Amino acid sequence: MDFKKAALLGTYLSKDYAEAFFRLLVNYKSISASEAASRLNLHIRTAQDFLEAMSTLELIKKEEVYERKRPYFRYTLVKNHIELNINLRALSEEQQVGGGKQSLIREQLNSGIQFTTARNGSYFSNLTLLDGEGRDAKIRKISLTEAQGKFLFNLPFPDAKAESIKTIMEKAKINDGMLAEIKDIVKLLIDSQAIEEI
Amino acid sequence: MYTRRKLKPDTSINGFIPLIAISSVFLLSLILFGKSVALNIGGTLILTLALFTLIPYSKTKNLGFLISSIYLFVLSLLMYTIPPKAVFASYPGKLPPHVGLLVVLTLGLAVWLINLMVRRKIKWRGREIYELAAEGLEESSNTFTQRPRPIEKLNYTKAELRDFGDFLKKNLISMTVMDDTRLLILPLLNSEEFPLMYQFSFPYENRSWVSFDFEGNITAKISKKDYLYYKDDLPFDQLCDSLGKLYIEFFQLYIDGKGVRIIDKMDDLKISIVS
Repeated sequence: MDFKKAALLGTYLSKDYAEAFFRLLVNYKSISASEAASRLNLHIRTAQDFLEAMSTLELIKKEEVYERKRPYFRYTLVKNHIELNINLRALSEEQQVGGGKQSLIREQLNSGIQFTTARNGSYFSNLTLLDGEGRDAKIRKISLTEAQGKFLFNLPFPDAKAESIKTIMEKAKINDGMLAEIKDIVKLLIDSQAIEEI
Repeated sequence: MYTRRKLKPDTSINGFIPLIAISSVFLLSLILFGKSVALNIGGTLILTLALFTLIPYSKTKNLGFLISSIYLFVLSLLMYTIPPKAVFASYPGKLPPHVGLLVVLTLGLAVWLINLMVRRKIKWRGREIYELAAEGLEESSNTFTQRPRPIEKLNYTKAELRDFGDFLKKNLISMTVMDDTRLLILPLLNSEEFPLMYQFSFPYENRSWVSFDFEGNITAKISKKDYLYYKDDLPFDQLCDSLGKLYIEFFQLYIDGKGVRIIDKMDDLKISIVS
């Protein structure tokens, strides 16, 4: 299950009517949103949202039925167990920047980003960037890990030849185990237009 | 052969401010209070300046500052002791022997100082450094960034670094500071040294510097102010790289016992002795 689906499931499981709703789904062969809402004393919209979410998560099946002129949906439980299983490794940045390719990066010209050098002067300890534009812009200070600080210290200048993350990490003598946290800061700085990806 | 300079001409008068200030006060005192008081006031100001000149000497060990301080001290003594009638007029009597000695000393030290000045021995070499760093670089777009740039890694000892730093300071090639992690080298343009010489703390973050850390890493940074001293927008990455490599070259020359070649290289540029 991906994180978004897990978050959706978690949201609905946390509702105080969730257990009662599932009890209905278990005990009824199929049920409509209006039947569930009246049985649980909920607003029909609340019942519809719950059933639609469970349908998206493929825990229930929805079927369009016709009664006189007006079609509506009936919902049937299709799974007897709910498993909330999230692979946290999938959140790793390792495969995300550049879609897993060896993308080339360098500092963006006039990024406006401010770097603070660590006391020994061989890496950055934090950076300050502007979040937003114009008068609404807010100053955002980000503390860097030592690996991130060393990486950004070795980032090519705006007029220098762009290099891959791997090459910069080699230059900065950062071991491969730090790749995920490096990619995390690179992604943030690409989004903030402080790093140019070529 | 005419060489087009990369830096804008020096129009700063900061270096002449003490001279202009003392001369103005002296002339004003002369007009208001007469020769005797003016000589005493002038002497006191010059004595103060002599003492202040000892501070850069203590920080750099450059002989020029010591000679300059002694010269100012002797000149102040001369101003205290010379008979007022002997100034700006023909003096009918004979000058006392100690005043005669002070006149000779003052003239001798002045000649020595002029000699040092002409030979660029009492000139901060920041302008030469920046010209050498920009050699061979062509105009580009403005690509300034305030980040320092790693240059390369070298092998050296802490003692070698300390000696190199002392050499750079003593010859006014650059100001240097050794802290507990690195040797920091600051190229100074002439008359820009005053804040660094007379401040207790050493504000270098907004200045240009090259650092040699104790792990062998060499890093260069050029400040926006110094970058804008160039007439044209130069490729910033290459400029920082060139500045760092220039000091690496200096370091290697110094280690090989060819420190004089560094000075020759800068003298060859024939930059004005007062800029």
